Amino acid sequence: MRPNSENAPVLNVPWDRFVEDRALLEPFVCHIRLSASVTPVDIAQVLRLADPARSTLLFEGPALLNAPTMLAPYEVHVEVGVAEYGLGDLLNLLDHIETHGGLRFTVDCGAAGSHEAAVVLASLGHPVTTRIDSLGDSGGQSFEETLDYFLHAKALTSQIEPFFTLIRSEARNAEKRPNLWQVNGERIGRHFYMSDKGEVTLSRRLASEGVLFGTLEDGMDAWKQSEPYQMLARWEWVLREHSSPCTSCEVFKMCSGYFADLHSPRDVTCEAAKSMLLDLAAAAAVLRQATSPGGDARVHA
Amino acid sequence: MNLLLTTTCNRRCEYCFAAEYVERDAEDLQEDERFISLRHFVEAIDFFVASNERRVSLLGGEPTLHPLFNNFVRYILKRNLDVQVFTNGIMPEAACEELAARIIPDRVAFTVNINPPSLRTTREDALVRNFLASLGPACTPGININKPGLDLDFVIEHIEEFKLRRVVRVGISHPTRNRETRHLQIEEYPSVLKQVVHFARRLEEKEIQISLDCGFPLCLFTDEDLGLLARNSPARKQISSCQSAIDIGVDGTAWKCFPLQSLGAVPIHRFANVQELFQFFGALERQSRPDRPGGIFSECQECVFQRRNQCGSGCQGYSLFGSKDKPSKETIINAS
Repeated sequence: MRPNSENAPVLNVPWDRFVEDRALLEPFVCHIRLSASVTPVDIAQVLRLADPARSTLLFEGPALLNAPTMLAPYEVHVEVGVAEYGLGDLLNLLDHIETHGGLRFTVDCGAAGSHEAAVVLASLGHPVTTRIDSLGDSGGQSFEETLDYFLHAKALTSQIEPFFTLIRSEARNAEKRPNLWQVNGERIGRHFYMSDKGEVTLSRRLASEGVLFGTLEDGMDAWKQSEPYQMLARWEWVLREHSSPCTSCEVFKMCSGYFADLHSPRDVTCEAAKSMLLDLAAAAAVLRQATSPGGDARVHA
Repeated sequence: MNLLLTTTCNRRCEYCFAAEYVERDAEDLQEDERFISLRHFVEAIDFFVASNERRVSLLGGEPTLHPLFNNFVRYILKRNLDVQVFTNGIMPEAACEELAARIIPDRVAFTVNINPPSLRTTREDALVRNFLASLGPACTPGININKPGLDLDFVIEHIEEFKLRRVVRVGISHPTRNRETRHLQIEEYPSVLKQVVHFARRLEEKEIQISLDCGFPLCLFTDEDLGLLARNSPARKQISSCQSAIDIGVDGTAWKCFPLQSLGAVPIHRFANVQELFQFFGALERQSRPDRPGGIFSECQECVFQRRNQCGSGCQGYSLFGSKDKPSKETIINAS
């Protein structure tokens, strides 16, 4: 059974803390981050300790070059950064792990040009997720380019997330539609993230903003009592209480205030994100029409 | 279908059919105007896949000048497509060495358009020889004839020295829209075609095949010549014909063959596949020259070779840009 198929809480943890704190990590399915500086010896140590049924390996791209070519039966995600990844680097990575099937790639679209990595990987048949938390103003162009490719590519055989999930659920008018928190692996109560310093919070972006639940030693009960956790658990209510502009926004159902400032919920910086979500909604409308009786079925999802 | 990686070239051949496309002053152009972007490249390869093509032909300018050239080749191979590169072989030694290490035999082939040694600089000559020495078995030599009297025997020497593929691609240069290139004049065809036949005999003696590129009017060959060319052609049923390839440029637009580029270029993303593009350009061509039937000679309309689609009746560029009054074949032969 794959780790995510269980309901166990998921903790994103740096590899060295995973090795050091094994006893405290028993309750969790672990997403183990292997940073760019990790050595083959470090990776071997992680592989000795990690239960494949309860662990996913998250490699920063260059770290993968130090990994054994066969990582099965682990689920492996590869994070591709920004500027350092040219076409040659991507092809070198793929050459290295060609024998290992089932890789998933995560692309940080936080910088101009990074969409090219997403496009190359998807065109080669690899499932790609673009990190929605990097969709600040600077990443808007990269997301637009990636979305444009996803919508118009003529020979795409893999999915680019979160576009696929969001468009499909919109097009189907699904009752329970995933929002940006959910598609980015930031479900409060389900997902936890431990920073390199050992601080626990919901996700990497919240760690970088200093929104913390506590430390690993504090334990889950204490985390859930923390103020940030309590606020995030009722985030949509918090937005309404503060009359955040999010609550009247046309893409609120897809977004759920993902880009509102946790310290000041009325402040929202989401121009690029909103534009992208409107494009997604428009694409979903086209798809809905195309797949309705008498529609143009050539439009692909 | 061809994909052009760059508008830049490191040669300035007087016969170049892409001369209007190849920039003359690189400093005036931005990089994204000179080199195809990674995004446009991936979209173009998608288009090849959607068109059920099995091979990608890479052209330029000089395609190996693209900074990502070697990685483009690796990428195409990962898409399960074969690669055909049309190059002049002037490639820096290090890049050539890396390419030689990366290519997969039988899946990457080079047609090397070789100028006679007398037209090469010392550095060019060294680089071309290094290219042929490194990649010889994957290389088919090609020559382009733009005037009578060119010495072609150097190609045979290269084939033997560098163990190139034992087939020579022979092209004649065709007119471009502004006719600035030194292309072969119609009145020069008889003497040049005699030279080609003579060359084919020399090749046959060496057990080397000859592949005629587009635009050779078959009626200027005797039956004996045609027999010689047919038995030494890699594609035995076809000696020379006009395939009018689709070219995709660095900006993601496509046109039908360089000599016909003035008909227009359209973004490939508007078309599902190459078949739709051919339909589009076919219609455009019919609209553009309703009063100009194909063929370079007045007899072409009645010709059996043309009806059977065995002969392209010379380059269509002559029909499009040349005089409406076509010369008769007999006049040309008598004048020569």
